Amino acid sequence: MIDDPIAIAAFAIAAMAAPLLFATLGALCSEYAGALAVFMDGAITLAGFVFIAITAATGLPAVGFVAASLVVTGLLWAVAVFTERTGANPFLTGLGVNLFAAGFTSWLSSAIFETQGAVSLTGKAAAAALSFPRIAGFPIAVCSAIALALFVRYAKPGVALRIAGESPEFLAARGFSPPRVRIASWCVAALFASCAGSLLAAGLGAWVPSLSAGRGWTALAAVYLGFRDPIGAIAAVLLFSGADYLTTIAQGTGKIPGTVILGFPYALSLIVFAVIPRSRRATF
Amino acid sequence: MRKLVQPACAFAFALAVIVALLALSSESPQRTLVAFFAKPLSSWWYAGNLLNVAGLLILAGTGSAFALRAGAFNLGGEAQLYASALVAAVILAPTGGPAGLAAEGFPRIAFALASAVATGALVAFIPGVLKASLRVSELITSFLLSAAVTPVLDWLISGPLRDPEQNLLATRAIDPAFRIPPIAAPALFNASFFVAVGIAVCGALFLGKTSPGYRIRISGTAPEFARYSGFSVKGATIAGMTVSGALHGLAGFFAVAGTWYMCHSGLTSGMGWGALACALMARANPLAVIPAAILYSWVETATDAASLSARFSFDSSALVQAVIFLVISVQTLGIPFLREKRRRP
Repeated sequence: MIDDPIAIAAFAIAAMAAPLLFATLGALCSEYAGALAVFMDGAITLAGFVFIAITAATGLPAVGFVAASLVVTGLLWAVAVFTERTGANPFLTGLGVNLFAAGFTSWLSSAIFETQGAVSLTGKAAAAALSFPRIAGFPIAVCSAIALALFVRYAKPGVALRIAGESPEFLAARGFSPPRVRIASWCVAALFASCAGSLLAAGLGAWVPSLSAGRGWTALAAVYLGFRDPIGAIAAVLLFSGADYLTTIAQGTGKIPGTVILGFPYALSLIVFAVIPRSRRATF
Repeated sequence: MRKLVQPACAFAFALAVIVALLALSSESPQRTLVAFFAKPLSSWWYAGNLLNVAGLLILAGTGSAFALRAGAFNLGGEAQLYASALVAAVILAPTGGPAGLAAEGFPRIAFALASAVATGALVAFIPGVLKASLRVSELITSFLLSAAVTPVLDWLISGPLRDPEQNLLATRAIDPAFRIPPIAAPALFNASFFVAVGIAVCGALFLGKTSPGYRIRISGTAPEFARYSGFSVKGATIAGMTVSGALHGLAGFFAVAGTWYMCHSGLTSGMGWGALACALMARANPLAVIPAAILYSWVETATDAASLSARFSFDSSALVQAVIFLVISVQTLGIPFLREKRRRP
């Protein structure tokens, strides 16, 4: 049992940061390829639902995670191909993914669980999901960030991903297909979104319609606050999570209504977008 | 005729998805589908309420179209509607709201109307200014501002402004003297529908036939040409967003004065997104928003009727909006700035 308040705060912030860091890394991959990952919020919600539904059916969280990754990656691959083939606006198709996730999970929860609200795990499935230590997510997310940083700096496909958004002509001259790189970036983003959604749902032992709670949008802001760099993203996410922790503490004191705090991630993201220089912003 | 193909496809796909999901989830698909197609026009109650919702969508959809024509994308319609509805509900409450605003009759309803419109305009003005001055995309700021404001409005409705005598999460009902009466009860269809149609027609005339309208259109479709012609593109962006917010605000006012008679938690329930879907289906033409809104409202009413019949409910409007957004987003749409801007080798 930990008694030190600083250690308690550090553990709480790390636990809060893990899903956000996964989401930020996903958003960063899409950003590298030249598209703002507007779909991230919906992808997290959908991943969390599939994770809970499959874990409830099999009792195995690992199977739930694999299923969530497959479904969300499949969906985003299809939308990315659609976006490339039709020349669609990726912002609009990303919004379409968010709306689709809201409507489709609502239909699935009614059809499968006969509820439009929370879907909870019970019995062994709940015990298995909740047994995953929440704090373990953060080191895994940090390792993913380091791996992504090395990948985009030193691996040939990683360098291709990094320049796909800024210099598609150069990429084509080097023998890469820019549309394929862009589609791949959405698929990688989907994998990270699956990690975020599964981690959030596992922590709760349930799926709720507002599972992502704006983390997809906060991730977009964290991408720019972290200077579009995976290591910088860790610092940005810790900053956001620290602020999130402080507001949670303030909520506990009764000084800030809980409902108002729901808008906090969006307000913080709005401020970040308004103050960061234009040169570091998205190209949408 | 070719202009109709894409919106028609978007609507047809959305319809097909909803029908398929309803049929899949019903124990009696035949009965559910009969309810879906027949119920909305089977009685005046359904048809009148359908038109009433369409009226609100026409107002907000005309607002969305206005922003699109000005080269801006208003994704904050939800909060603009919601905040305006709350302001209207507070001002029209029986006790007269804050001291000094207790005037009865026309002055008070005019004040409520102006305040609701101003509130919607203000919420949209901020992203417009951010875009014009700091070049921050209104796509993201209008959405984020809306998402940040909505929980505050929820808190106001469930806390300080809640009617303590009711179990609902809602403000007090507005004074009966300020309610817009239904034209033919029991449906809520009222005069606001005709106001909405009139505003859509005026919006189309303004954009198509007047000099300021021409400037807004040129600024939206060809900003470089507009600059060479001496037009203020920044001014057009701010004006487009502000008018868009004002029309969402007007829809919020009518939602309270003509439909719900109070502001309850989650009042908009996706209407802002629905209005944007209508504007996109209408290719940002205010006149075309009228049939688009009626069709959209018909799908919502039909889904509600079918869900009731199947004893199965889900958030169908989000799916309809998703399909419309996906289909409308393809590059053939006739609004140049909606086209994908990335450089392609």
